Formats: sequence, structure tokens, C-alpha cells
Amino acid sequence: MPCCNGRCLAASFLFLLVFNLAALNICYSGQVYDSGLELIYIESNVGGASGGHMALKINKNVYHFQQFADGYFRLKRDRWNHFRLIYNDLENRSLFVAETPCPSRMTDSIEGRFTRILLGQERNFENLAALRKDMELFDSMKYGTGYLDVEGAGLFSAHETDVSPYMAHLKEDALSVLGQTYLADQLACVERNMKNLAPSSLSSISLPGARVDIPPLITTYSTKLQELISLKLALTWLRGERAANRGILVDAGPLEPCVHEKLRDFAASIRKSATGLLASSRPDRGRALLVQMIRYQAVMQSLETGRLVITDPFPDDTGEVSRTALMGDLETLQLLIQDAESRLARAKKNICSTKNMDEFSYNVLENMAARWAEITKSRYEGTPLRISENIEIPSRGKKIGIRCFKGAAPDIRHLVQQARKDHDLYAAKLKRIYSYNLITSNCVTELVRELKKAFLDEGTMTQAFTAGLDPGPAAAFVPFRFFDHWVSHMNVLRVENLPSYRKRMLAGMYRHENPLRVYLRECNTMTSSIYRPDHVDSSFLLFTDDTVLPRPVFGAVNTAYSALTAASGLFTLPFDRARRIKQGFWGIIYSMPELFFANIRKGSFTWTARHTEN
Amino acid sequence: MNIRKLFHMFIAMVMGICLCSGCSISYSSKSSSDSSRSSSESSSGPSTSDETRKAYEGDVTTYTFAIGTGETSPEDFLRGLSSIAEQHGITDWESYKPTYIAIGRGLKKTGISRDQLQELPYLQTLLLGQEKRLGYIKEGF
Repeated sequence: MPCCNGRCLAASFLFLLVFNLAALNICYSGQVYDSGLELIYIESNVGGASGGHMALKINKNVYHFQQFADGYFRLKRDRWNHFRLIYNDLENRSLFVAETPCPSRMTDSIEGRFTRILLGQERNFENLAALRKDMELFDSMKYGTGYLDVEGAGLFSAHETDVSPYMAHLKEDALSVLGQTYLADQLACVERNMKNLAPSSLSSISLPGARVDIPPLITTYSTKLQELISLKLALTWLRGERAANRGILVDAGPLEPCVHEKLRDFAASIRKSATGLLASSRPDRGRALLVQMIRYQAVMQSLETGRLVITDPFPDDTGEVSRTALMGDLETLQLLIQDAESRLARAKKNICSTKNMDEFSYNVLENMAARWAEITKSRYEGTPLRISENIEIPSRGKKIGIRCFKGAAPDIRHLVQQARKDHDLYAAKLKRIYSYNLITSNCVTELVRELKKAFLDEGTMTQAFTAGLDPGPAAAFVPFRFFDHWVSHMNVLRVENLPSYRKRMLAGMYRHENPLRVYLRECNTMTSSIYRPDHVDSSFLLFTDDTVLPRPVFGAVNTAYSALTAASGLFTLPFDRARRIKQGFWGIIYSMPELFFANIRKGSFTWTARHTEN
Repeated sequence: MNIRKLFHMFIAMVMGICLCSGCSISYSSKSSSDSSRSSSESSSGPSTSDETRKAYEGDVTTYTFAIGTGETSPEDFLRGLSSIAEQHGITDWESYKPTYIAIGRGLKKTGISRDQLQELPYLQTLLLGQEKRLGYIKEGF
């Protein structure tokens, strides 16, 4: 901490203590804002969150800078409900929301800037992925046949011969609208273009500049080749030469009559869309066409069988939760199945209440049905659970062999070198733009930096905003200190506390049960009915986030308990990969602040009921 | 070591722990986090189709505004739109009328005149033989 002596540290500590106390006393009205500019301070918890967190809410979106598993520090946009689920419920952290008056012109400007950063970010990482793909393709081509992973190529099967009669509908439409020779002509054209497309490196790449810039798209050899291959596959399969990959079609339960009716109309719109895509000038229309073709197959199968059949939308590189982890927590798994069921039911209800089902609503149905089918399969067949936080489009990929042209080995080696150089150069630049630094580039500093720029762009940097966004060096990077500064300088209308999940549950119990009995039962991890020990949390016995005066005593008990856990870990070392020792060690570390009235650890949850959405 | 020094040391440690990780770390994006909690995070899934539509249109507007009168090639403009659409769960953005209205809104923010719209080089491929599309863009302008 710059320029911070013992007195300053003591002051900070006192502030932390007072803030903790004050936080407990702010009333919770249960209201959720829907508009305006709101700064959110998220209390600390263990793990990667011990410094607290800061976010900005504009309407129903929350913008915040976050470290990602790949090491980059990026802007994230979450829906308010999702944000609350993660931070307020699962991570069990209280939120403090400062409602700040701000003209709508300015909130538009801020949101515009953040959206621009998100788009620039997406483009930058797309460019990096394209450069990596070129590098990998050229590298594999050194030894003869190279391989290119083509998204969408796995939606149809090269082996199954049972060609779907539904593809004939799409073919008939195309031929009648675009002409009898259209498919053959297009295929010939694509093959010609593929022949003419020689592997080449980029003459020059434009490196990304500022975070807010949307850099030019880098169209690499592998991007162009992938587009041509997708289109070729789509045209070939449309002509009736391939069957759908059966493994990708998922049965997602019975089909309600009203959904059946909407799907019938949607089938007609897919037919129209497929013809439109065939005639389109989009260079990437091949992949879009493949998706529409497999969806048509799924929709028609649904109509025929009276069961909801969807295409599996999980991407190939999606995360997974292992069978062991799932089976170790069957109760959570059962609750998650119920939750997935109700979400699917809600998606169906929404579809039934709309006039026409379009691609947006179908995609939501597809995603919800796939999540339900996935989790049910994991529960009853014991398979790992694939997970994804994003909305997905079916994209099952397949490695396609790319033959190397004869006598070109020296060129290929040169191409590999050049592609690696381009990739590394781009990656190094991104590391600089999206880097995390505890003091100079964290969730507070970057949020403030972008806010200032948004206000300056708009030419509306008022005196209040100037003071509010300039907290001085000691508060400029510490979330709770910056929040306090904002509250005292930005004419904040009110600060609302959204207590953590455990505190909300406790409040309900205190209202309906004997308070002493509730306290004695819920103050510890052994008998608590709200909390279930999770291996993500460090070892601890007593909760200290809802008590202040006994905190040092509880802290001492937690320290002793953690030390015992660590010691017992020596006996389980051969079986648990030192898990208990680590839990005990971190338990001791996070118990230390409690000895001095401060609290970081709150306990966290693997599953919570979705109170935030009701 | 006197008590005061010891106190300062502990305070420094407390603050150190508070600050050691700074901000939150997200492991959710396409990474494998082997716990039931990640299944809970995943189960939240996509937003409603209305929210997605609105976000998509907002992104298209900002994208077009950012490009402005710049030198993007028509093909790259189309690829850019496809990428945005994919993030919001749609593939056939071309047949979705609000796409053009959102483009029009973005172009209006750039300050160009209505007459200049059809002359923008990167719109040429999208508008080729598609009078209706130009009409929709003008509707959003």
C-alpha cells in the first residue's frame, strides 16, 4: 500500500471494522432497482475474493472487471439476476448498492463505452484464436496431412446412411426458389475457391490499441478455409448425401400441445431461413446453414414423435463436473434437477404465450432443454455434467484432414514460423491491455478509469463526478474504501444492503423461531441447517460474519479448529492429495482477522433456492 | 517486540489478506471447475429471449457506431455481425428486421447524413439487391 504507515493501517482497519458494523445495520428493504446508475460493493469472502469486489449496475446489466482463469483481466457483463445468484447467494457475500443520480444521457454514454469495450475484447480474443488456429494448422501440415477443427462439421455423420427425408424439404425449397442447378453450381464454385486458396501467412497484422477500440478482424487462411469447408459440407448434405449425427439429437421429454403448434410454425420459418442463407453473401453462411439444417431435423422429429427433440448446444471445449463431485452431493444434484425442470417449464410457457416463435425463443428453449437433459442424464447414468454459463448454438466440431500440397515443405515451415510470430506478438499485446495489477489495474481502478473517460467523452464531467471519481491514492484501488468515497461525494440517494444468502435465511428463522435456539443451532458449521460444509471453503467451525463482539473469541476457536484439521490432514495425506491440510492452513489464515474483529470468511454454497428471481 | 509493533504487524497481515487477491476471479467461462457450485452457476443459463433480443440490438448499434465511416471491408462487417449474433444465440441475423434498425441507430450516432447511408462501402454487400434492408436501416436512423 503506498504511503501507508502504521497509523494509516490502523485507520484502515478501524474503517473495515466500522464498515462491517454499519453494514449489519443498514436495513434491507428487499427492493430491486430497475434503472439508473448504481455502484455495487461486494463484501469479501475466501478464495479469490478476499479483497472485496466492485461493479457498476446500469438498468438490468452489471459491468465489472474480473480475472479469468486464462490469466486475462477482462470486463464482464452479467444480468443482474445472474450476478446476484453468483455473488449474493452462492458466494454468500452481502452487496451494498449505492443508487446514484445520473442523467440518462450519461448512463447511455457509460453503457455505450462498456459495450464497446466488450465488443473490442471479443474481437481481440477472436483474432487471437484465429491466429492460434493458423499456427496449429500449419504446424500439423508439416508432416503431410494437416487437421482443421471445423465447427458444425460434427452435426452430421459421415458414417450413418439413414438419410433424413426432412432434408429433402429444404432441398426442394432451394431448388424451386433458386433454380434446379443452384446447389450443383454453388458446390462447383466452392470447390474451385478451395482449390485456389493456397496456405499463406498474413502480410501484416494490425495490433490492438486501446481497450475501447474495436480492432479490424484478422481473416486468416484457416478462417477462410473453415468457411469454405462448412459451406461445402452444407451443400453436400443438403443434396442428401449425409445423415444427421444421431448422437447430437437429444430427447428432452414430452411435447406440450401449444409448443407443438409453435414448433410447426417455426419449422416453416427454418425452411425459409435455409433458402435465404443459401442465397446470402455472408462468407460464414455455411455454418449458419448447418445449424438450421440440424435444427429442422430436430423440430420435424419433435413434431413426428410428440417428444421435444433438440440439438445438443454444448460446445466441444465446455467445462465438466466429474461424476465423483456430483455423486458426493446428491442432494444438490436433485435440487438442480428440479431447478432445471422449472426453467424448462418457464421457457415453454413463454413460447406458448408469444405470437410467433423466432430463433431467439427457440434458442432459449434449446438451451434450457439441453441443460435439463444433461443434468438428468448425469444423475441417472452417472455421466460427467457438462456446464456452460453462456447461451450456446449447436456447434459440434470435427477435425477435417487438409492435404499438404506436394513439394511445399519449406514454405510450410516458413508459414509455421510466421504464424507463431504473429500469434505471440498479438498475445503479448493482449497481455498488456488485459493485465491485472493489485494496485494499478484492478476492479476499482479500471472501473473508475472507464467511467472518467465516458464522462469526458460526453463532456459532462461535473464537479460532483470529478470529486467522486478522484478518491486519492489510498482509496483508489481498495473496493470498500472507494465505495465509501463514492457514497460521500456523489450525492448518493441511498445505500441499500442486500444481505448474503445465509443472513437472509437467518433473518427468516429469527422471525419464526425461538431466537436463542436459532442462534445456537446456526452459529456453527456442525449443526447449521442453512450451511453445508463445502470443500471450496477453508476449514472453520464458527460463523463470524453476523457477530461482532464475540468475534475474537470465535476467531480463536476457528484457529484452533483449523489447526486440528491441518494436523488430522497428515493422516489422510495419502488419500486426499493434502486437501485437509490445505483447508486447515487456509482456515488458520482466514481466522486471523477475526482475532482483531474483522471478518473475511462467510462460508459459501453449492446451491441455493433462487430467491433473487422471485 | 512491543505490543504496538505486534498490533501493527497483525493489522498489516489483515490488510494483506484483504488485498492479496484484490478482485474476484471468475472460473466459470469455459473452464472446468469441478464442483457442484459450477453446476449451479451453469444452471442459471441464458436470459429470456426478450432480454437477449434487446442486448443483441444494443450491441449491433454500438458495433456500427464504432465502425462509423471507417474502412471495414463488407465481408468483415458481415463476419462481425455474425459474431455478435452468435454471442446472443442466433445464426440467421440477416432475416431479422431489428438487425437493420439497430444498424440504422448506430449510423445515426456517427452523424452522417441519411443520403450517405447507401454509399457506405461496408454496407454494399448487405444491401445488394435488397431495397427493403435499406428501408429498415433508414427506419432506425
